[in-house]
Amino acid sequence: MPDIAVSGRREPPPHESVQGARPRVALVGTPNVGKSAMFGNLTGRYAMVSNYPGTTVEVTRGTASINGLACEIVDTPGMYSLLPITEEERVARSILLAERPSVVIHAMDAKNLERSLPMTLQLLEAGLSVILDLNMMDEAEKLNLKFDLVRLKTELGIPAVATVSTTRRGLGELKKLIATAARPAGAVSPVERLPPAGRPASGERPVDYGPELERALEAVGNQLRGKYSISRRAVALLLLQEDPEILELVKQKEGLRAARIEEILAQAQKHSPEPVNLQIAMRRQEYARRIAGQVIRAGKEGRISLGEWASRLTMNPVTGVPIMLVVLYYGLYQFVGVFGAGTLVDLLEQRVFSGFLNPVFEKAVAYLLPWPVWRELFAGEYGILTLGVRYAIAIVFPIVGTFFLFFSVLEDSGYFPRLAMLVDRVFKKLGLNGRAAIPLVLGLGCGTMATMSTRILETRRERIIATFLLALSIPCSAQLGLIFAMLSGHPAGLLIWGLVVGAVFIVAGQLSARLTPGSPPSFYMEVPPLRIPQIGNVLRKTYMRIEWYFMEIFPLFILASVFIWLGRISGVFQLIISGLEPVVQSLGLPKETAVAILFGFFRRDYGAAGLYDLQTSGQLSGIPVVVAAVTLTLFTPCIAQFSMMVKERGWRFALQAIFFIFPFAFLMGYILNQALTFLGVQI
Amino acid sequence: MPRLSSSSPASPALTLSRLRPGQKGLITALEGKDSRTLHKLMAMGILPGMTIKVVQNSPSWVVQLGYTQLTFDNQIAGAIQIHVTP
Ligand SMILES: Nc1nc2c(ncn2[C@@H]2O[C@H](COP(=O)(O)OP(=O)(O)O)[C@@H](O)[C@H]2O)c(=O)[nH]1
Repeated sequence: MPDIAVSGRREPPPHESVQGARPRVALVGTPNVGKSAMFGNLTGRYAMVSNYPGTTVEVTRGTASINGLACEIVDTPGMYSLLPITEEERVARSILLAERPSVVIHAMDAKNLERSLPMTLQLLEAGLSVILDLNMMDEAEKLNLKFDLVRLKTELGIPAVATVSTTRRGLGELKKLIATAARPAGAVSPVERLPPAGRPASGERPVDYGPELERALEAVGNQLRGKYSISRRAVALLLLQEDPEILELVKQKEGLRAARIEEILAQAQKHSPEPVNLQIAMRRQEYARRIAGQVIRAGKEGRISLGEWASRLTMNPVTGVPIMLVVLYYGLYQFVGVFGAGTLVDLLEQRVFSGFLNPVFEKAVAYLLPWPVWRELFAGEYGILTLGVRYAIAIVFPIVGTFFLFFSVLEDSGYFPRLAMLVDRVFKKLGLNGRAAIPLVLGLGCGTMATMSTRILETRRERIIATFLLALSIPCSAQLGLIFAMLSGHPAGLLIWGLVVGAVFIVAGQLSARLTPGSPPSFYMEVPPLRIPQIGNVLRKTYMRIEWYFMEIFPLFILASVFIWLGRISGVFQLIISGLEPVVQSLGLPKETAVAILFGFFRRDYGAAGLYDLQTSGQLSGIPVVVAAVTLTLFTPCIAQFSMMVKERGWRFALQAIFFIFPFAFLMGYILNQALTFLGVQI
Repeated sequence: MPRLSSSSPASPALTLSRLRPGQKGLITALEGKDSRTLHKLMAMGILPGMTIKVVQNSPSWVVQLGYTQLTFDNQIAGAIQIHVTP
C-alpha cells in the first residue's frame, strides 16, 4: 500500500526491546519494493506487527539467525526521503534515529536505481551502515537492464547485492553481507563506527552541495555540540531543509547556540538564488544520475510487456471502471459476502456452535455454576461463551478473515493506487481524494480499523470527513455479510438498501465537503507495476491482521457480553429497550428489533446478527427487513469504532457525530418505511 | 507563492496540464500554492531537468518518469512547468 496497514497492537516502546543486545537490522525503502517479502525471507515465520508508539503506523519486527548471528529485523514503513511528509515516513525515520540499527538494508526496485539513490545518499550522510539491495532484479532483466555492481560498490563505498525476494535469489549473499556488517560493531553507535574497508574517506559526504551551502553546513556543524544519533552533517542538512522536528531537537540540545544556528540558516536561505530545499534535492539527483549512468547498461528496449498492457487496462476509464466493479463484485460480494458470510458462517455457526459447542457450554456451565444469574453471564441467550465467543468466532471471524485476505491481495498486487486514481475525481466531490479509497474500502471490513487508517489522509479536514462517513454510511464486513444474507433472497430489497445507503453516502459527503472548513485535498501517488500476488506474502499479512483482530477486537466482544449481562440484570437495558420499542414500532418494525439495535451499539455486527436471528425465526419479513437493514447500517458505529473516533478525533467530534447519526438513522428508517408502504412495494 | 525553478525556460511557460497522452516534456520548474505538495513531488523524484511523459490524463493524470509511473490530479499537473520535447 501503499502501506495502509494500520493494524497492530500496542507493545512496549521498541527501543526498550528485550532483544537490546542483538544487532538490529532495519529494512528501509519506498513502498512496494519488496521490503516485506524480504523481511519474510530473512525471518521466516516469527514476526510481530505492532503500532509504533503514539501512532497507528504498522511496524513489523522479527528475529532471525543470519549465518549463526542472532539479529532483530525491523521492516520500516515506506519512506521516500529522510525529510518526512507522512506519518509513515516520520515513523521510519524515528526508527533509524532512535533505534540506531547496526545495519540498514536499503531495498529498492533495481530499475529505479537512479530515483532511489538520493535516499541512499541521505542514509550515508547520516552515518548509517548501509547495504544496497537491488531487488526485483528479474523485472529489470526483463527490461534488458544490466548492472555493474562492482562499479556501484566502489563508487559508493558500500556493499550491494542483486536480489529477487520472491524467488529468494541473492538471499544467501545478502545474509553474508548482513552478518559481516553486523558482527564486529553491533553494539557501537553507527556514527562512532569506522567506515568499512574500501569506503572512501568521504563516506559521510558523498555529495558536494556547492561552496555556499557547504560553508553553511560547516558553520552549522560547528555549532552542534550535543550528542546526536546521526552525523552532524546530516543534522545540518535537515536543518537547512527546514525540518521542524529536527529544529526543535537542536533547540533543546544546543540551548543558547540555537539562536546562532538559526541565524546561519536564515542567511543561507537569503543568499541562495533558489530554495535551498530544491538545490539540495537537485545536487543529490545529479549525483544519482551520474552513478546510475555508469552502473546501468540498457540493452535494446523491450516491447510493452504484458503486465504494462494489463496495467493500462486497469487505469483507462473505459476498461478500468468495469474492471474495478468486477474486482469489487467478486472480491467483496462473492468472496467476502457469499463465501465468508454465507458458507463459512453457516458451517461454523450451525455445525460447530449450535450443533456442538453451545450445548456443551450450556451443560458445562449448568454443572459448574449453580446460580442462574452467573450462568447467564457465561451461557444462555447472551452469555460470554454462547453469544460473545460464538459471534466473534463463528460470525465475525470468517467475514473479517475473508475480507483481510481480499484486502491483502489487493495490496500486494498493486491495485490500490489504480483504484485510487479511478475514483479520485468522484471522491473530490465528497471532499476527499482518491487515497481515501483505502480507509473507505477498509471500512467495508472493519470500521474501527478504518477509522485508525484515516491517518494516511493528509489534512485534518479529510480525516474528519472520512471518519464521519465511515461512522454513518459504510457498513463493516460483519454487517455487510449479514445484510447480504438477509436480503439475498430479495433482490429488490438489496437494491433499495444499496440505493438508500449510497445516496446517504453521497449527500453526506457533499454536505460535509461544503461545511467542513479547509482547502480541498490534492492527490498524488506512485503507481507500482501490477504484480501477481505472492501467496506467502499475502497469507503472512492476512495472518498478522487476523492476529491483530483477535488481540484487539476479541476482548471487546467478551466485554460487550459482560455489559449486556450487567445491563440486563440491573434492568437498565430493559428501560432503554422499552424506550426504543415505540420508536422501532413507528418504523414498522417488530418490537424485538429494539434489542438488536441496542446491542448493535456494543458491536455493530451484534445488531446485524440479532436481526438475522429475527429473520430466520420468521419474526421479520417484507418491507421491515429493508427498513431494519437501512436503519442499522446508518445507525451506530459500534462501541469500538466510537472509542476509536474519540481517540483519533476527540470527544467533541465523536459526540457531535453520534448526536447527528442516531436520530438521523431512525428518521431515514421512518421515511423509508412510509415511502415503501405508500408505494406498495413488494419485497 | 513559492516558485522552484532551476533555470528560466526560454519558451513561454507551459504546464503539464496542456499535454496530451503520448506527449513528452522537460520539467523546467515546479510551482504551486502548497509547499508540502512541492516537497512531496521533489521527494518522489519530480525535479527540474527530468523528462516526463504523459500516459493518460483522465480521470487522473498518469505520467511516466524513467521506469516509474506516478498518478496525480489536475492541480498538481498545473504545478509542473515544462518545455515540450519531441
Ligand atoms: N517480480 C518481483 N516481484 C517482487 C519482488 N519482491 C517483491 N515482489 C512483489 O512486489 C509486491 C510488493 O512487495 P512487498 O514486499 O509487499 O513490498 P513493500 O511494500 O516494500 O513491503 C508484492 O506483490 C511482491 O510479491 C521481486 O524481487 N521480484
